[in-house]
Amino acid sequence: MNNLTRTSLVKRLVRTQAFSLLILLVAMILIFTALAALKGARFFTAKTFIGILQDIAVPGFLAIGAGCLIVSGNIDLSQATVGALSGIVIAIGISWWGLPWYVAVLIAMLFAAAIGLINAILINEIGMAPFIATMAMAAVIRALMQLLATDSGGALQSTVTFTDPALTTIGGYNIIGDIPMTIVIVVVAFIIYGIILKKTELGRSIYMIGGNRRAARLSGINSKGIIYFLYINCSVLGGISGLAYTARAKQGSLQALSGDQFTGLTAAILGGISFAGGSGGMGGAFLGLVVLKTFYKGMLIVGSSTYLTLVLSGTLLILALSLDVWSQRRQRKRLGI
Amino acid sequence: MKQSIIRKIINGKATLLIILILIVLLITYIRMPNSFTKGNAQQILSNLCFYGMFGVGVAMLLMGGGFDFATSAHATISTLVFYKVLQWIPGIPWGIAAIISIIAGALCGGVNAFLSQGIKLMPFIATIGMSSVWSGLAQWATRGQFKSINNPGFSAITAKCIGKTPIPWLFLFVIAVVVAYSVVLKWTRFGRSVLVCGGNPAAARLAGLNPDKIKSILYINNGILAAVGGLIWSSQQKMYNPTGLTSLMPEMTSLTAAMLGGVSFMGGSGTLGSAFMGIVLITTLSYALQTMQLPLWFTTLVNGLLLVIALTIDSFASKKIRKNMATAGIVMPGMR
Amino acid sequence: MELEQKAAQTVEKKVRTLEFKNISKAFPGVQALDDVSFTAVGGKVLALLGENGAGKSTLLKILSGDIPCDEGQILLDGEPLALTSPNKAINLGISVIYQERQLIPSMSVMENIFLGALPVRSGFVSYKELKAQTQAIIDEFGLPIDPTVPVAALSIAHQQMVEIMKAYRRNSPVIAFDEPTAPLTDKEIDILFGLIKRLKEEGKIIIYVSHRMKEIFQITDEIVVLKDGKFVTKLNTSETNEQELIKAMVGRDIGDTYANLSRNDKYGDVVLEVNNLTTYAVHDVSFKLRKGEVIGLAGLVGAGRTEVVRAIFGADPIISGEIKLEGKPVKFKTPRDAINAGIALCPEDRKEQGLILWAPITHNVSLPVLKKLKKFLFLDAKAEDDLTLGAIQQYSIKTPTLDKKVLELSGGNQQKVILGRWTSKLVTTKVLILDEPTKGIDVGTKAEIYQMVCDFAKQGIGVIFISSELTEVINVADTIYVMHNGRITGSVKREEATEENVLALAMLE
Repeated sequence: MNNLTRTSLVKRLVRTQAFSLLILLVAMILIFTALAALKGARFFTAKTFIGILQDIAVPGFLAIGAGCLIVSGNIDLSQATVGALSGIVIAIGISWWGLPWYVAVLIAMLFAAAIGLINAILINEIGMAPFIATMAMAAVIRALMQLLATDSGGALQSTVTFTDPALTTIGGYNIIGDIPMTIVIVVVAFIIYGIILKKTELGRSIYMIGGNRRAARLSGINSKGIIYFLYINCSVLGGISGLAYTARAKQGSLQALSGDQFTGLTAAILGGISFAGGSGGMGGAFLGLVVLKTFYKGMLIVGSSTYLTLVLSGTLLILALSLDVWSQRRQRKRLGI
Repeated sequence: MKQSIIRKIINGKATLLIILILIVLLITYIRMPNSFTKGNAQQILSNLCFYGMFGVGVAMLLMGGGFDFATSAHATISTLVFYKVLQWIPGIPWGIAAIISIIAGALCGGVNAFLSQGIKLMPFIATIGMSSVWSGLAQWATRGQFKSINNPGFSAITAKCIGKTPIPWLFLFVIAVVVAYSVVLKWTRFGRSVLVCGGNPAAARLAGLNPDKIKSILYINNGILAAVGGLIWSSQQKMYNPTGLTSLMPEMTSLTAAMLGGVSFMGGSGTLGSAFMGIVLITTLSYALQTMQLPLWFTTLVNGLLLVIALTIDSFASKKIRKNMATAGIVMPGMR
Repeated sequence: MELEQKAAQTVEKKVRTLEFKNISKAFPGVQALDDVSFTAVGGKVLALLGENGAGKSTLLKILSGDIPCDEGQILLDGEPLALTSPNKAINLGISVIYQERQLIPSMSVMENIFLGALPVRSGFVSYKELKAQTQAIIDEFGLPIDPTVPVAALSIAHQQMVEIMKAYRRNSPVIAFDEPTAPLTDKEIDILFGLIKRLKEEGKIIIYVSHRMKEIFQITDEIVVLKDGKFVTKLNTSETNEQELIKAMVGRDIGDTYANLSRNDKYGDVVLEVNNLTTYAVHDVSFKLRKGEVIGLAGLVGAGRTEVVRAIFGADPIISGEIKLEGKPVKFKTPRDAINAGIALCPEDRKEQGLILWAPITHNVSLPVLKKLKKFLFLDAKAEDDLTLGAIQQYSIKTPTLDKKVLELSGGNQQKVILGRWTSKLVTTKVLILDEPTKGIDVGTKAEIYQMVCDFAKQGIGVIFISSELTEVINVADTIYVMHNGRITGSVKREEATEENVLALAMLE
C-alpha cells in the first residue's frame, strides 16, 4: 500500500556539499591549467597531481580526526601539536634511546592517546570550553616537546634526525612511480571512517550528539563515552599524521605540522562539516582537502610566493566559515525558523 | 558561606597576585642573588612595556565578551606599515609614521569587528584565520626577512631611563595607559557598559545598550593597542621582524594574565589593575626561570600549566555562578 | 465660580489608565489571544487570572514589547503605545518583572539597579551618588541588602528583589509582575506586598499575574479572568470568592472529542510504583501506575510534573525515595538504564529535547534502538526503513519521503515521530511518559493523539500523561494526580473529576 522510500540516491548525492566541491575541483583544474599556460608553466601534468597526492597524506589524518570531532559538535586545536610530539618521540626514541622503531612508534601513540584522554576529561568533567581547553593543552604539549628534545648536554634540538631503515622504507615506500604508499593508507582511512560514520551505530550516535546532545541523551545515547572516544581518536590520528611526516622527513621537528592544523580544519568545513555539528562526512572532508591542496599547488605553479600560502589559508578558512554561516542562515530562513 | 566565596571570586585577585610576585622574586633572590642587577631590571621593565600594551587591549576585549587571536599579527602588520612609511618618505618624523601605523592597527581590529559582529562568525576561528592572513602578508612583504630600522629617535623611546634608575620612561607611559583605561572602565558610563555587555548581552539590550557596537569598539581598541605594543617591541629590537612577535604569542600570555587577574572568560568581570598584575607575575616568572637557568621547556610548561589552571578555576567559578543564577531563572549566554 | 475652582483643584491628580483594546494574537495552530479588552487603573492592583494557555503570558509579552500583537492596541492614558521592542517598552514606562531575571551577576546590586542609567557627575560615574540613591531605595524596601555586593552572591529571593527595585528606580507608571512570589519566603512576600501597597499609593498601575489564590485575595483590587485567549470577566476582589473565580476560569464546551474515545478498562498489576520521591524540585511524591492505566499529572506550570518524570527516567538525580518497576526496586543513573528497562519519555519541549531537527525521520525514529538494527557491524538500512515505515503507517505521519528532515514536518507530525520512536516493534515499552504531547498541535491531530493514548493502554502499557490543559487531563486519564509546588496535592478519578476541583487542587497551598 505504501511505497514510501528514501529520496533517490542520485538526488541525495547531488545535494551534498561534496558534489559542489567536485565541480569546484574540476573548475579549478581547468582554470589553473589555463593560467599556467599563460605564464609558461605547466599545471596539468602527472608531476603536479602526484605532488598534490603527496601533500594530502599528512593533513589527511588530521582532517579525519578533526572531522569526526566537529560532527559531534566539538573541536581539538591540539591535534597538530600532538602530531609534532609524536614525531619527536619517534625520532628521539630511535636515535637517542636506541629503541626499535616499532616500540618508539607505540610509545608515541600512547602519548597521543593519553593527551586525547586529558582533553576529554577537561571538557567532559571540568566543563571547559573545547576551544580553549585544547589550546591550553597545545601549550603544555609544546613544553613537553621542548623537554624531550633537550639532549643530555642540555641543549634544545629543534630537529632530531634518525636513521632507521625499516621506518624510512615504509615512509618512503612508493607504490606506483612516485605515489607514496601513505596516500593509499590515508584514502583507505578516509573510506573506513566514512563507513563508520554513516553506517555504524557509533557513527550515527556521533551525528546525533552533534545534532542535539540533550535529545540524544534522552534517547539513551552515551554522549560522554563517545566524546571520550572521539578525542582519543583525534589525538591518535594526530599522532599517525606525525608518524607519516617523520617517516618521510627522516626527522622529528618541533615545527612539524605547524600549518596543517589549519588545513585540516578548513578542509573539514569546506567539505560540509558544519561547526554546528551533526552534518557533513568524510567524503566531503576528503574532497575539501583535495580542493585546498590543488589550490595551493596551483598558486605555487602560477608563481605566487610561499608566504601567500599563509595568507590564502587564512582567507580560505574565513571564506569557508562565512559560507557555513550563510548556508545555515539561508536554510533557517527557508524553513521559517 | 556561599555568598562570601562568590564575593571573593568576583572581586579581583590583585592582592593574591602581588603576593605571588613577591614570592617569586624572593625565591629568585635567594637562589641567584647576583641576578638582581640594574640591567636585568631594565630588561624586565622593558618587557613589561609591550606585554602591558597587549594585555590592556586583550583584557578589555575579554571583559566585553570577545577575544582576538590576531593581536600579535595586527602588531606585526602595523610595524610593517611603520617600516614602509619610513622607507617611502625619508625624513618623515617617526611620530607621524607611528600614527599611521596605529591607524593600520585600528583598521585590522575593525576587520575582526566586522567578521565577528557583522557577519557573526565565531570570533575564535575567524580571528585565528585573520591571524594567518596578516601574518602571511607581513612575511610576504619582506620575503620573510628582517629589516632593520635605523631611527635613533625611535630606538630611544625604549632605551631612555629615568635618571640613574633602571626604569624606562616608557614604563611610566605604559602605567599611565593602564591607569587611563582603568579610569574609563570604572568611572565612565561607557566603561561600565563594557562589563554589562560582556556579562549579559540580553540584559544590556534591555537597558538600551548595543553590545555589538561596544564589542566592535573594543576590537578596534585592541588593534590600536596592539599597534602600539608592536612599535614598542620593534623599537627594542631595532628591526622589523615579520615572525618574531607572532611566535611569542603575547595574546595567550595576556589571556592567562587576565584570567589570573580575575577577568572571566565569559566576560563581564575583572579589573585592568589585576590583569596587569597578572602580566607582571608572568613576566617576572619567566625572568626568574630564565635566570635560575632552568631549561626552556620548563618555562613553556609553566606558562602552559598556568593557562590550564587559570581556565579551570574560571570554569568552576563560572559554573558556580551560573548555577546560582540558573536556580533563580537566569539564562546565561554562552561563550561568544 | 468659587466652587468650580475648588473642584478643578481637587481633580489635579489625574488617575492614569492602561487600556488593552481588542488585543488578538495567533500562533501557528492556536489563537493565543482573541479580542481581549479591559482597562487597568492607577492606584489599583489588577490580577490577571487564567489557567495555562489562557493567554496571560502572551499578553505580558505583548505588553513588554517582546512580541507584537496581530490586532489591537495598548493605550496609556489614552495614547497608543508603540511597543516595538523591549527597550522601547521600558522607555515608554512599562516594566515587566519576569521569572527570568535579567541581571549582570558579576556586578554590584547598585549597578544592576541603575543599569544603563548610572548617575554621572561632570562626565564621570559618581559611585557616591549611586550608592546613596541605591541605599535610599533599599531602605524604602527595608531589606538587608548591601548595595556594593555582586548580585551573584545574593540569595535567589534577594535577586528577585533587586529586579523589582530596578523597575522601581525606573519610575515606570506601569509595573507588571509575573509570578513574583515563587522564590520568596513569607517574610519577603510581606516586604513585597508592602512595596506594592506603596506603589499603589503613588498611583502606579500594577498588573499581577499569579496562581496563588491566597495572594490574589490579599493584595489585589480587581481581577480579570482569561480563558482560552478570551476575556471572561472583570471582578472586584472584594466582591468575589475562590469558587466563583475557578468557575470563570474553566467550564467549556468540549463537544464530542472525548465522548468518542475508545478506552481501556482492563488494568493489570502495578507496573510502576513511586514512593516518597524527592529531588531538587519535588518533594515526597508517591503514586502507583498499573498496566493498561493512564495516569494524568495535572498542575500549573512550575508545579514539578516534568521534574518528577525526568527523575523517573534517570535524566535527573534523585535525592531520596524509591522507584519500583514491576515490583523490583530500580536505580536509573542515566536515561539509557531507564530505556533498557522499558521506560520511554516524550519530552516536554519536543524541538529542544526530543528531536534531532536537521536529521531525517529515519534517524529520529531509530534513535534508541540502534543496537538492534545491526547486521554484522553495520546499521541495516532496510531494517531502519521498515521501522520508519511502520511508524509512519501506525500514526499516519504525513511525509513524501522516508528521509525528510523532521524540521520540515508540522508539530503534530513531529510529535508522532517521537511516539513512533518509542512504540516501534523493536522497543518494549512498559511505561510510556508523555509530557505535554499536544502542545502547539492542531485540534484534529490532538484527537488522534488522545485515541493513541487509549490504544497504548489497551496494549497493556502504563501511560503517564502530563498536560497543562485541564480539559485534556481529566478527560483522557483514568486517575489524575494533581501537583503544586513540587508536591502532590491530591488525586481524583476521572469519573469524579471536574475542572473546578482539579484546578482547586492545582492551586492548593
